[in-house]
Amino acid sequence: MPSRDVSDMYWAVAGSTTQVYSSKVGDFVPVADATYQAWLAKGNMTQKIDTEANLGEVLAPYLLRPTAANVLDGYKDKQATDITTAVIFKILFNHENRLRAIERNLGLNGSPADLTPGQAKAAVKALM
Amino acid sequence: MSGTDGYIQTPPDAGGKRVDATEAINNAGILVERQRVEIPDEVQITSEWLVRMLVEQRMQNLLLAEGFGLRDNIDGLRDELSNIAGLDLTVPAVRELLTEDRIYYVSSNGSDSNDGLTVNSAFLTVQAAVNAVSALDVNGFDVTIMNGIATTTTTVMLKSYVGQTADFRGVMILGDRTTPANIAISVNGDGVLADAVQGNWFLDGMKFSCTGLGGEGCVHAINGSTVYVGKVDFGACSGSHMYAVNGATILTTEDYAITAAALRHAFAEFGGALRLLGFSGSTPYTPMTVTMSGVQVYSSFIRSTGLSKIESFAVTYTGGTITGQRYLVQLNSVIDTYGGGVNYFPGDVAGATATGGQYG
Repeated sequence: MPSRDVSDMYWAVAGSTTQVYSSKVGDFVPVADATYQAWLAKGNMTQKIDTEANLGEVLAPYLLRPTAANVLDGYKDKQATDITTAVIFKILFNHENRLRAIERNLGLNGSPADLTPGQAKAAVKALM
Repeated sequence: MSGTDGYIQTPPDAGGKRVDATEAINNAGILVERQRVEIPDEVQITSEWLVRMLVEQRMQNLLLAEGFGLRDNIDGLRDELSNIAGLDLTVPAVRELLTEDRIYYVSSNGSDSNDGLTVNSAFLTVQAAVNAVSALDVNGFDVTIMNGIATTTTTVMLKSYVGQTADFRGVMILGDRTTPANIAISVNGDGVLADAVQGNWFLDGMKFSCTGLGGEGCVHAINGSTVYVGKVDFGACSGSHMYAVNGATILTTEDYAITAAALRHAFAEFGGALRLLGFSGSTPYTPMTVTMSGVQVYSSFIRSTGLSKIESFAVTYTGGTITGQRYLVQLNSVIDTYGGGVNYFPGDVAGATATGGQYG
């Protein structure tokens, strides 16, 4: 069987033949990397994926945080998406905007505009 | 004589006693060895019933212990005891035991009354060859059905056979690997159906098309069957190109083509499994390419539901204009791409998970 240990797998992104992403390292390594070659020699196979962002999305549920910037962006985006689509978050989101409506009515705190879903997700993503 | 209650009345010359039947046989000193039957000279077999008990018990033990491998010895035992007692102890015919790989030929010039063993004595239909295989004990050897029929228009019903001894061995229906479309399975209904089949079947070098309400699968495996799909061409299908249900498994082994759409390319439900990867029977697996052409519209390219699993690894789907949902996974089922990402399967609509389905 191909390795199903996501914490020690390799991906070729966008058809790259020069480097692969290592979930163990958290970053790309050259295909000549000795550890990678040893992993292949055990009969494992490299998975393919179309974009770095989608790779980050794959890694997010396993909390295998990448260091490669574009992969990390996809990782954080997935985590933020999962959080902001939860019902509890939507309730909090509505409460936030009710507070902002009160602030506007009372002229408090600069009368902030309603928070948009995109802004809410970006705020959560920044926390990841 | 009486033996129906597990006791026998021994013959007058043996005392006329009521004794346990098994004990009586053992006490008679009749030895059954692996190679031949030895009956000591001092033993006088004067009871017809005793002989019958011996045959039934000893032959059954041999059959259970050795399978059918001791057929010659069993025949000898039967003949020897038949001669002694003058009984007809003929046993039913058993399967032909292969001692080497076998090829069956299927040709438009053939006849289903032929034996299929040579080009000049080919069968007329693939089904006749399948039926012939089902009568075999393949004894660990491979059987190939050389399908030379340009178009088969009735569902090929795969059948069980005896004697598969290892994974990735079994019986192959082989068409034209260079141009699979030259050998078409084009059916108003399922293309190939494996229902509760024991023993691996391989399908290679054919083009599948299936239409009509009964066309649930170009390759339809059900009730625990296992079917391997090699270099084939999937054409138009009113159901799924590959449909595994009720504990059945369909595995792909190498590159193949999809030249026309189905409702779904691969569909597993009710505990079915599909393994879309270059399964060569050994490690490492081989990366494979699925070549698609033309405009193909799917309801969902891949669907797994009802405690089923579809896995795919290192497969590149290329070519064609593919529209429809990439995947749909429901009811505690799994689609496992080994981290292939949300765009691993072709389509122009995002995949979806629901009711406990997982995609990863």
